Amino acid sequence: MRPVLLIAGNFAREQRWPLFFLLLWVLGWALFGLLDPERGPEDALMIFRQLAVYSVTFGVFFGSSAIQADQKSRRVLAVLSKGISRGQYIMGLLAGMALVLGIFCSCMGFTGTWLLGRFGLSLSSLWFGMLALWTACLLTASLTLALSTFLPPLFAAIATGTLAGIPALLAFRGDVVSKLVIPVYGLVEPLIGSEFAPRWHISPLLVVAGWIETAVFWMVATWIFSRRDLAVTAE
Amino acid sequence: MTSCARNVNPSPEPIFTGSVLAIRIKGLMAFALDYEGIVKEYRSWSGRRRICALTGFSLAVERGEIFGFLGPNGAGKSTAIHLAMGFMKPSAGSGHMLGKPFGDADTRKCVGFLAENVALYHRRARTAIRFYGGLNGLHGRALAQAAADALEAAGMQAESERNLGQFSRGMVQRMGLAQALVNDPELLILDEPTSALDPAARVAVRELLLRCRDQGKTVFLSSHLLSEVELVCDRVAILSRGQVVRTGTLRSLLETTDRVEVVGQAIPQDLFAGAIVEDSRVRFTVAKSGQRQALERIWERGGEVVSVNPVRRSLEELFLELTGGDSGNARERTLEDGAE
Repeated sequence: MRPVLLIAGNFAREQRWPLFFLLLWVLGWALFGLLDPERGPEDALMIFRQLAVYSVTFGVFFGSSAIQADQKSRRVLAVLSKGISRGQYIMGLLAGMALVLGIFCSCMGFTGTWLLGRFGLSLSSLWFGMLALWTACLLTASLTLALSTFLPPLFAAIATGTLAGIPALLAFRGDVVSKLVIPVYGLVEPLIGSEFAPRWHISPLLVVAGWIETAVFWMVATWIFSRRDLAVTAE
Repeated sequence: MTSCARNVNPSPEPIFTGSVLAIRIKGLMAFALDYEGIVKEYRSWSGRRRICALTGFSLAVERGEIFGFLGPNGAGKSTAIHLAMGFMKPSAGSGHMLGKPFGDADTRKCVGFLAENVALYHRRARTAIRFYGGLNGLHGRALAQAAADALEAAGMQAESERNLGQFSRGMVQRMGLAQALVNDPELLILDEPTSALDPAARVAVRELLLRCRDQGKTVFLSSHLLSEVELVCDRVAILSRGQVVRTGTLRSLLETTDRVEVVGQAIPQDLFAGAIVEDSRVRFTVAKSGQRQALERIWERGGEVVSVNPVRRSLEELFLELTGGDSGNARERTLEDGAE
């Protein structure tokens, strides 16, 4: 477990600047509310929706570039020459993404508590929404990570959009089962789609499905990555 | 420092003494690295273009020796090393590292690896080495001590508070060596460890390798610097076109020639073609078959034979002879459309 945590911590450290700018964004949102307290809940909610969409996008960004960046820079060789398996490496990256995205969602949660709470939004609903958002981000990141084990980053990102979008479209047309397949849209829909309301309704089943599918994509990523050659350039 | 030597028994008694299996197990345990008929092919996405990096590659590295691994660019050296480390899988054949099949994660805890053009995360030197040590299961005081020892061994202790991003290429290479040493490995696999180092640092690394051997560690050294290999290695293997073309002790490889060098005195210089005079002694080489005749000519002329020695080639001469001065070996072995 320790090597996994070390890789996770290292990943978070490597992503400190993107994370810093993401947090600046949340800070900007907070300042927006602070400097202009007369603005209504809809304005604050609009920025909140934007941030929720961006956080999922950053999940794709982190997932698509993590392995490629390590492989391209050859840093992966020094890591995988140690006594760790490929599965531990992938789990470390995923845990690192969970940490970075968790920090971002927590900051969104705290800022939302202050800004949206004033307008009567239930805090338990908000924080469950943040858990759902974090789950959606992590699910997206794990799917992209699995795809990036055999696709270049751009194609992995496009494939993620397609794979997450198809079940969302089917669910939109009323297919109940599709709601549980890669439920990224289902998890963030109450945050980005609905109007301001005292409570958001997010099914806990979707959160559980999100966690299970994240684990499945980790296993898929491990399975593929364990069978891939790391250094394929002939001398 | 946590010692891998403590974890791996170098010569355990086989369980099924007397059986073929026991002989095989004993053989595996005796070798630090053992490649058996490895074939490695790289294929393009379409599968139409194939590059055969290794063909029927077999090699055994004994424990406790410094083994030099030589070959021109593209001969397959790094491929062979990456296979041992489990970075890639062979297309055919198998291999063992410290008695376990290639790719075993636990075995790598007892191995130190330095890649060619090493790249490490940009952190403070001390933190970076602790990170890599931590990946091998070290922690707490043992890790702190191991990191300090590794930095000292690589001559980087004075730079331990600086960030790797500020280091020169040579310093990064020494940091690479430190991360390879942090777990006190039983087997060190070094791919071009001194390519970016200045002469003083090269001498320091050479001394480090010799110290490692004295401690019972095995060093597998891939290098283009033949003079360096000649100075430290017990045995070498020369690789060309994905196959081992010669392996043996340096002494046996360099002395295997059909000429001898004769030194005589009190004889005229023009007695033998190509003879040179040094400190009133005449030095010349003749074919082994003509050795007796040459000595008799010296004695007939009243001269004296000072010494007769087999001509010792330089490693460079042997290398060029065996590889034909090839470079870009792998490209030459590119196979198109399945043509053999």
